Amino acid sequence: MANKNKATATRAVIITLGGLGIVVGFVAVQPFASGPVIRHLQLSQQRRRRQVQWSHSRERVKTREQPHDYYLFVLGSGGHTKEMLMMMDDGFCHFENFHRRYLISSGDTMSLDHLTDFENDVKLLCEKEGQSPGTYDTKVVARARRVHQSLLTTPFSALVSLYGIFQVLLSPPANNVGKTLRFPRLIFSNGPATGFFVGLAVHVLKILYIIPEDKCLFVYIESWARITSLSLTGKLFHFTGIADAFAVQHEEVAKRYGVSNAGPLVFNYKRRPLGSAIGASS
Amino acid sequence: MTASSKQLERCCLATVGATVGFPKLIKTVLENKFWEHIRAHGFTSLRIQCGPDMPWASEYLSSHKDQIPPGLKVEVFGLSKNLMLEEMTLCKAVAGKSDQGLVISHAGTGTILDAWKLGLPIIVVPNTDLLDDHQSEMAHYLADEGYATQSSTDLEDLQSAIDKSNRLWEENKNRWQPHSTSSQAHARISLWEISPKEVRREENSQMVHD
Repeated sequence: MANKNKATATRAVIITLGGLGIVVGFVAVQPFASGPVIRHLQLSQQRRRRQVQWSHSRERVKTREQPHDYYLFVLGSGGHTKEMLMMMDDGFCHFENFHRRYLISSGDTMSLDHLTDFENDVKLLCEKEGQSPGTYDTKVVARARRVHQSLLTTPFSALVSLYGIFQVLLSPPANNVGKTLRFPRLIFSNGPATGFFVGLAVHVLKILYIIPEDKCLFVYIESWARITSLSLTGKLFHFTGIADAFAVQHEEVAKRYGVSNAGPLVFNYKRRPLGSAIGASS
Repeated sequence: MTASSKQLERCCLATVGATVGFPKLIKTVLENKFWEHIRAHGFTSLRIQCGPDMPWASEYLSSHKDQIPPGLKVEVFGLSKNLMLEEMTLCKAVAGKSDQGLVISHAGTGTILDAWKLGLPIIVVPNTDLLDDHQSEMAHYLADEGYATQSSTDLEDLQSAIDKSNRLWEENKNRWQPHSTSSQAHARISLWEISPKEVRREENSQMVHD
């Protein structure tokens, strides 16, 4: 009898303590749990207030507004990189105090070759025009998932990849621009998934107040290859709304999702005479 | 074709991409009727990138070598590390050496963009056997916009596409020039000018959507 009473009492104590624990835990954690949610909503609202003009009248801006500037380009792979560089390679060469950082995935030698060719071309072009080509660096991050990698180990490699992305975002360029600008002002991606990981990493770092909200504005431009529907990465950005600017390159897909159509930006590419457009590094 | 241009080299590159083969297209460009047709258009060289279809294509070619019309060289190869660099430049017009060539391609975006970068005329042949037939969509778009000529893997279709491509090239030369804005009301924005700006709520109604 005494034993039974003892057992009941013990159970009551456990339940009480447990209940108390939950209540205390909830009260203690609550500010930390709701904080990020509020912060997330705050950031989303701010994003909606930002607007981008995707086309304009014929006169082109020849000077930059910022005295120093720093952009990050996420180079996906193969076709994505080719498209991104074609959009960039439009004859613009006002890169005084302008730093370009490239994020590529480990093992993606093709993107590395192509961006080196592009940067060499920019240098030649700027020299010809008497302009500064600015600076650039390349950061390599581990792949979130290799082809044929087991699904069991994927979460771990994804974490390693995310860690690499955090480092890329948080380490300023080792030059004059980096002394003034700790974070990129704009980040560009046209897919695939790595771009979304970078977007997510930026969003998390903004929730944690590590990156100021007016830095690292994310510009997602859907691949030119997507004529009637968004890619998976495009859908992720569209439905989460974590990109500060979002555009597609065809009217049909723009209408279908009610998003901005920037037109075929890949055709901004400026052709040069045979020979000079092709780098020698590959 | 004028008499003088017949003396110049003229290269036709047929390409199917690296990943999946496209046997139907390769079969068509390996027909001797096709060879005679392009020879009549002044082509002196046909290079066929076969990807995974390389083994049977090279076997077929070596057993049909005697059917190649005089003045035409036909070669097959599996892959090249940089298709644009190594192969497409062969199709460029070089004064006194070669005439503007032609690219016949599956509707893969990489090849299309490379051909566009070099300013080469292109015939796109969508591989309709692919899972969601996404190449047809691209081929339609390119044909509608006048960037390319569309064809099927059918021999007669491809022959008339070559005739058409020659005409389209003459008519549309300007469309392939850099920064031609053609019918577009607005110039496209340069990537370097894109900049999200914070606006007050009431200004939101003026957002540019086009």
